[in-house]
Amino acid sequence: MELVIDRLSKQYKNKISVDRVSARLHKGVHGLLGENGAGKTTLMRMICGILKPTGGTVSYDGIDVSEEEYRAVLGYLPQDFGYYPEFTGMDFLMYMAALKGLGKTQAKRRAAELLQLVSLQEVAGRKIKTYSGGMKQRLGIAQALLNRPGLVVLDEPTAGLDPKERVRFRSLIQELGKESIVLLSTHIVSDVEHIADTVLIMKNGQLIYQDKWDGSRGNLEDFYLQHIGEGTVAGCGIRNGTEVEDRIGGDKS
Amino acid sequence: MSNFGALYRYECKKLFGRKIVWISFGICVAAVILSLVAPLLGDYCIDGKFVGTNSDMYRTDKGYAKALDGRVIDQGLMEETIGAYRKIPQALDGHHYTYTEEYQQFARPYSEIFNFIRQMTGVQTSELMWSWEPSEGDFHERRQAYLASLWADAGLSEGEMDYWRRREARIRTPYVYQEHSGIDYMFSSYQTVGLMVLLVTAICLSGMFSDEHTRKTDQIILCSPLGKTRLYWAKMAAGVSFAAGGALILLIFTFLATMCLYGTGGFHAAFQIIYALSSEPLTCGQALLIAYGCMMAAAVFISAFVMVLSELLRSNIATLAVSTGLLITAMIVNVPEQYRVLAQIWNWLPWCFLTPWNVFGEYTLPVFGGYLAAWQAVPLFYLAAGMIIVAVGKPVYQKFQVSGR
Repeated sequence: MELVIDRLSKQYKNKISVDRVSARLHKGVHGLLGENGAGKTTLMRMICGILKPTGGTVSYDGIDVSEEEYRAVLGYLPQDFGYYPEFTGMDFLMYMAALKGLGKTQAKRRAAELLQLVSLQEVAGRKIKTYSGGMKQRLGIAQALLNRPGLVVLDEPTAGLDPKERVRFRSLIQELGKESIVLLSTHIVSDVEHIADTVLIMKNGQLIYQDKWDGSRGNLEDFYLQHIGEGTVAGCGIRNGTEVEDRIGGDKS
Repeated sequence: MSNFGALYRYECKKLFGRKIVWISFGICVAAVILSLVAPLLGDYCIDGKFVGTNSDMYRTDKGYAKALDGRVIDQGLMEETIGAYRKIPQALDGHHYTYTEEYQQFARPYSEIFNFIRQMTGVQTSELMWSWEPSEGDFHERRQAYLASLWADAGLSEGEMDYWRRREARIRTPYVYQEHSGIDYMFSSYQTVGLMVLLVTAICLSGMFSDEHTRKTDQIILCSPLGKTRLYWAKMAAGVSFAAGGALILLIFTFLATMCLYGTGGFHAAFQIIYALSSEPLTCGQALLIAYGCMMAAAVFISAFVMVLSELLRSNIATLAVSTGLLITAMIVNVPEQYRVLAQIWNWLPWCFLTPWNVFGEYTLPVFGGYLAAWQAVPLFYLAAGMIIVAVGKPVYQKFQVSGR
């Protein structure tokens, strides 16, 4: 189980959104941090195959991102997306299951499991327009897991959740990381600190840090803030993206 | 798994979940009822004097028509008709002849036959009333001459004229009059119903693709295994069947409502009883079925057009603006007959086509040494063009990039 991102770039007319990002991700939770506009969402969209890169490739176990087989192992929760207000929670999951190629019986069983997992089983028959923001977010997470994905891409999954739900979701994501590659983008550094096996930091479209996070470098928030600032991180010696690519050789293609 | 059926059902569910669909259908049904009831409302006055309600006059005329039902329009009936009209005084003091008592008493019972002769031959009302000598032979000669002049004005080739002459020769004569107010109203409302079908199709399907782009649901759809492939076909199938089904429901409703209000007579009458300028050897019932078929084909074409436009423009407002703009343009622009090719193309566009005079018009399409009438060629063209549009739209949909939000 390996996601290979090789010199992935996205350039618009006068802006480079993602600049030659390379990484090899394996089973586990990978926390992606970065300021607004750092290129996290663009990177995730390219990993999900909904945005064509201007350079580089993405593949999962050798399957290219453009293939239907790739999309079959992918689960994606975007940062912000709309639902069908007239659908019930169950309808929405059944529709998404059909899109993911699940048969009716299998889809029903899986949808029921996931509704229970995200604590929405009581309101499964209610129209989505009556759901709160947190309930919608939980439904979004459920749809991403319908096909038991090998690659889960979560863009701000805990946004809109109350603290209790957030803690529950951390454990859920951690559980997912045991079976899948989970790429998690968030502004909440503590979420990453608690559950991520690897931390990736993006700045100005470049991946400026990528390594395992075991807490030996102190507090992640301080580490992150120093990283996205101009200064050098103590004990790490990393100053910019180019250096990162050179120094973190092990996980680069 | 293909899951096409499940995706199709969910696309239909999305469509029927939209309030605008129910609102626009409700408005259409109300408009159909209103257009059918309107002629019966109000008063019938002569010189400002109340004579009866329009509903009373309709019943009177229907009674006269029933009295003529089944009669052959031969020399005898023509003489009877013209004789009745000649009882109207020639000196009318500036009044219209229909305001005279003689018209109401003697001529009105024959007005259906009088109008049939007038429309079939193109002879002026005054000439018909005062100088024409009723003759079955002259009636047919004048009709042929009238058609020839109309065909020449329309820029028909000699081959086309010959084609229509052969069609005209297949019409069974002498004509037999049948009371036909129900089917007549159906043809009268055909253009209105057609306009509503196209409008409702455009309104309801304008968000078929663009809604998901606007709502950003496209992100999870396009990264799903079937989101870029089978979903496109499921959406197209749902939209096309919605348009065809919607048109069918509206037509059936119009048909039933008209039958209830105006009766069921005239289905076996020659089509010329309703549309005198046609040379089609059809009954009114056959012509109605053909006209309805053309409307459904147009709805199918428009549905494909609107859905692909919805994907191209990614905005249901813009899609609706373009679709309704074309409809309005078609209503106000008329291409003169002297620009034959341009006029034919314009009249055959779905926004213009749905009128009895275009469906059963004189323009033809030469095919393999023969000719196809508009009602034969145009639906085929719509279905083929619809398929091409759908095929062209697929790569546009598949290549969509989620960016810049």
